[in-house]
Amino acid sequence: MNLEDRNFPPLSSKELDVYSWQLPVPGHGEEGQRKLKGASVLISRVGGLGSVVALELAAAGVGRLILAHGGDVKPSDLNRQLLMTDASLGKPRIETVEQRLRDLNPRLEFHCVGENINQGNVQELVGEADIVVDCAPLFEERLLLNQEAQRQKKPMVEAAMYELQAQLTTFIPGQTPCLACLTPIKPPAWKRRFPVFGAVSGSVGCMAAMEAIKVITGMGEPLLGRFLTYDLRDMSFTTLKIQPNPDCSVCGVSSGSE
Amino acid sequence: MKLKLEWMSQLRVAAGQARQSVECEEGTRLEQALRLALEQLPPDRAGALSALLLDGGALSPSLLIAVDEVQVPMGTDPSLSDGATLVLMAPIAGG
Repeated sequence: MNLEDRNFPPLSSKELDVYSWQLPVPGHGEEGQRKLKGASVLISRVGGLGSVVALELAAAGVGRLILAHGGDVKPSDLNRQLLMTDASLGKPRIETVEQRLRDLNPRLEFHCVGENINQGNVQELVGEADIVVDCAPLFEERLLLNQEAQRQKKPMVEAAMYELQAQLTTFIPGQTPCLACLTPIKPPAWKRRFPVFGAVSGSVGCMAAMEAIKVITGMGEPLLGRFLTYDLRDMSFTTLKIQPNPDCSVCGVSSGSE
Repeated sequence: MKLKLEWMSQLRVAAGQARQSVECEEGTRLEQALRLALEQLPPDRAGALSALLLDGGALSPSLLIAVDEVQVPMGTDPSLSDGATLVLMAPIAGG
């Protein structure tokens, strides 16, 4: 991700105070915090995964959050979608999300869209972002977002959960595999409704936020070419080495991408 | 030789276990090892797992398979070594 040529905005005295517990983190400092302030992150859906990603990125001080999520708050959202509230049942999810995040960090800029990623909005929304975090429940949305992120050469953090398990990786166009290298087609067995605890989506949501922070600031080592999978049932964690598929229809040699 | 299998995501639920050992002959290839693993399971478990693993009789292109923590390139059927650990997962999304 090329943020190097930008003039990052200065930090106010209030911001220096708000972020004072993370500024001393080795590899971060004021320079890293200014990078966060100058960055835009698109989060595709702010449900079980994305709400925690959004909370953590808002708390960390990412300057501009672009959030896309359709529909109204339902009772079945409340076990994991931590930005939703019982009082917001029946109201548009995106309105509740925006209000909760503004309450947490009013210094940020928000572009909140009350619809999911689709063919009509994906180009514009990805175009506004420096990095994308994929938190959608449907592979149609995930593969569409991946295709556009690859086309616009934007990094994409890929997070997913199921039951007590979760997985995470980060795609950088031209450097790593993309989602279509791993999942070339919509998996026929994947069902829209699946079993999960909110603590599972929350765990991988926090880690996905950290991946985005690392890519933006240059701190640490994101999961590039590495695929983390874990099961909180027995607390087993495994990291696999993954590689681009030369025949990938999105990023492979035969796709025409560079 | 002996192989260790780790089922992940929906495969773990379908198999009813996280890990499985498979005894097989030296030089056994990946697909054959998986068929041996299925034969060891109760029929209902093997059926549920086959539905996720196979697509038209071949391994589904959506599976992520790793041998000793390194992804197996799609469409390949490598020969396995004694003590190898296979990790298999079906794609998950979340939301």
